[in-house]
Amino acid sequence: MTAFQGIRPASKRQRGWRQWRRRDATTAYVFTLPTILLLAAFSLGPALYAFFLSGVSWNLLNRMHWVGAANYVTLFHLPLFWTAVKNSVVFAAVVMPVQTVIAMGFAVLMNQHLPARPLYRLAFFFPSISSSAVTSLMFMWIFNKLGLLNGFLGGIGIAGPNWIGNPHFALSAIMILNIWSTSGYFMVVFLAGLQAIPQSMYEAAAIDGASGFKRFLKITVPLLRPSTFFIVVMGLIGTLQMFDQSFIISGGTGGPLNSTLTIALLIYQQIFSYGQVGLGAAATVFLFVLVLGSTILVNRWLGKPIEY
Amino acid sequence: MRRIRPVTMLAATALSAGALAGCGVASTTSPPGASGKPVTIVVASWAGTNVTNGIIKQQLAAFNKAHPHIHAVYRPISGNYQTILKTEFAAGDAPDIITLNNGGQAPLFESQGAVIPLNRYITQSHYSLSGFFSGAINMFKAGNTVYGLPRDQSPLVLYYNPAMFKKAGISGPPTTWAQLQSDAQKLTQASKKIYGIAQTPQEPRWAQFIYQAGGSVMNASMTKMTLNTPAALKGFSYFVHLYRAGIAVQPSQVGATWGGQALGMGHAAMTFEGAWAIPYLQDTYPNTPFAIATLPSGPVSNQSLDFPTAWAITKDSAHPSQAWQVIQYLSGTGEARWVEQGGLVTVRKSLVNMPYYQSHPIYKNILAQLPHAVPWNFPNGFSQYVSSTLSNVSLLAVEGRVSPAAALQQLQRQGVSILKSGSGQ
Repeated sequence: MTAFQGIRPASKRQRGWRQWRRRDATTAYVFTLPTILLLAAFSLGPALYAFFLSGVSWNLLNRMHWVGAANYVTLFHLPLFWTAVKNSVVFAAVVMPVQTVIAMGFAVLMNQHLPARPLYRLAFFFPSISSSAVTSLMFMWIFNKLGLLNGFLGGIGIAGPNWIGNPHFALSAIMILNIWSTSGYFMVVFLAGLQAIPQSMYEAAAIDGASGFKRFLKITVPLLRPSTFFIVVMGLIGTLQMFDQSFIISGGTGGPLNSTLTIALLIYQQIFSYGQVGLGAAATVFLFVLVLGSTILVNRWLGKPIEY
Repeated sequence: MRRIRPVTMLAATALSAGALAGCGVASTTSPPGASGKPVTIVVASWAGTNVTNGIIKQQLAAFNKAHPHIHAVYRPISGNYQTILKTEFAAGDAPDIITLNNGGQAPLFESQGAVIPLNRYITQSHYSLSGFFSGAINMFKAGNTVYGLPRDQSPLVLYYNPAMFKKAGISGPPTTWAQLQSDAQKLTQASKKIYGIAQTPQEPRWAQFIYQAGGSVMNASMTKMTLNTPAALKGFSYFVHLYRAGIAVQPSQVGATWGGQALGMGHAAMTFEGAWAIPYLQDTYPNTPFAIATLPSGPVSNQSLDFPTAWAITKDSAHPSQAWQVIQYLSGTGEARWVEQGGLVTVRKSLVNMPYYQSHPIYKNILAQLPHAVPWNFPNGFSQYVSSTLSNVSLLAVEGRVSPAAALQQLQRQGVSILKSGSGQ
C-alpha cells in the first residue's frame, strides 16, 4: 500500500487516498484481531513453543532445563523413532494415492446422470462427517478375528487373518479404514472441480472423435489439477499426521509390536506416557520438516497453473 | 482406567471424555476457616469401574455429613488417568487427593515430589498402619516415608467356566502346573474356537509363573533385575509353552480384547484376572457361568501378583491437613463401607471377615489368594519398559519368534540399562 511513496510528492488527492487506505487497513485489523489473537494464542504460539521444548529436558513434573540439541541426537538414535517414521511414510505412500484415485473415480461417476445420485453422494460422503473415534470402533468390530470381514472372507473360502492382532495386517487395516473415511470428502472436492470444467471442451473433443476414456484422460485429469493439488497436499498432511485411528485401534500402544506406531502417536507417548517432553517435541519438529518438505515437493509437481 | 488390566474401557470414550475432562472446573478453595465457609477438597480417581463410578461418591457424601467444615468433591478422570494428572500437575492445578496406581505409577509421582509425605500427619493423629496388608502399604512407602494410604487391591486368581469343566469330565479347578496344562489340553476345541486359556501375553499376567517357580522380576528393593535366573526362565518357559502347544491363545484370536471377555464369550475355559472381572462378567455375560479358584502351584509356590492402589495428597493441595482428614476417613471407616458396597478386595486385614464377604462367597478364593501375592511395582523410569517393552518381547516369545531364554535376556538387559541410567526420566 505504500509502494508509491517517495516516487513523487503526493498530491492532496493522493494523500486522502492513502489516509483512506490506512484507515481501511486499521479497520480490517480491528475486525480480524479476535481471530489473530486466538490463532496466536492457541495455534502459532504453541507451535513456536514446541520448537523451544525440543531443546529442553522436562518430564512435566520436574523443572525443565536446557539441553540444546541433545534431544535430536537421542531421537535419531532411537530405533523406535525410525519404526514410527517408516510406518507413517508407508501409510502416507499407500493411503494418499489410493484415496485420491478412488475419490476421482467416484467423483466422475457421481457427475454422470445416474439414478439415485443424491443417495450415492450421501453414502460416500457420510464417513467423512462421522467421528473418527466412532468409525474406528466400527472397524475394530469389522476387523475382529471373528468379525464381519473375516465372516465374509470365510464365505468365499479365505481364512481371514487376525487383522488387528497381527503385526503384518494391523497397519493395513488402518489404511483401509482411513481410505474409506477420507475418500468421500475428497470426492466432493473433485466434484466441485468437475463442475468448473467447461462442457464445450467435451463437446469439441466428442466432435473430434475422442472416446470417453480419452476425454477423461486428456481433459478431465489435466483440468482437475487445481483440485488434485489441493487433495494431494491435504491427503499428505493428513496421513503423515495420522494419530486417532492408530491410538484407538491399538489402545494407545501402537501395537501389536509397534506396527501401528505413527510419528504422531510416538510424540504423544513420549510426552504424556513416558514423560520425555523434549524428545516428543523434537519428533514434532521433525514431523513439521517432513510435512513442509513434502508439501514443497508436491507444489513443484502439481502447483503450476493450468495451461490450455 | 487401570493400567494393570486390559483396556476394557473403550478408547473412544477416552479420547472424547479426555478432552472434556481437561475443561474441568478448577478447585476454588477458600482459606481454611475463613468466614466459616467449608474448605473444598477435590478427590480424583480414574473413571470406569464400579468402585470409582459410584462408591467413592457415596463415601464422600457420608464424610461431608460428618464433617461440616470440609466439603469433599469427587472428580473422576475419564481417559488416560496418569496423562491427564501429569498435565494438571504441570499446570499447578492438581486435585487435592489422587489415587496412586500400581505398576510403577506411585514411584513416579513420589520421586518427583508430586505427592507429599504423610508421616507428619500419621504421627500427629496417631494413625496406625499395622491394620493394612503389608504388601499394600509397602508399595506406597519409600524407605520410611509413607506416600499413600491403601484403598483397594486385588490379586490375580484363576477364573474358570465350571460348565465347560464338567462337560470335559474334569472334577475341579487345577491345583498344579501339570494339571493346569492337562486340563487346558482337554478343554481346548480349536475347531470350535474354544481354548483352555485365553490371556494377553502381557507381563502382569505372566510374571506370577516366574514367582511360582521361585524366581522374581526384580529384587525386593527394586535395585536389581532378576530375570536372568534359571527359576525365572522355568516360569516364563512354562507360560510360553502353553501358547506354543495351542492350548492358550491371545484374546484377540477369539475376537476379545482381554481374558475376562474371552471367558464371558465362551471362547475360553480359564483366564487369570483380578476381582475387577467379577462385576464385569456378572453384568456383561450373565449367562456364562464362572467360578474363581486360587492359582495352581508351580514348583515352589502358588504366588500371585497383587495390584494395590492408594490415596495420596498432592503438593498442589492448599489444605493438606483437611485432605488428610478425608483420606483418614476413606481408609478407615470408609474402607468398611466400601467393602459393604462390593468394591475390590479390602486392604485392611480385619475387614476380611466382614459379613459382606460371608454372603458373597465368590470372593472367598480371592481373599484366600491374598497372603500369597506379590505387589506389582516398578521404580521410577520404567514407564516405557512396563507399558510396551515387556509385552512386546513376551509377544515375540509367545508367537515363537524368539526363544523364552532370548526374550528374558533381552528384558533383563534393557531393565539393567534403565537402572544404570538412574531413572531415565
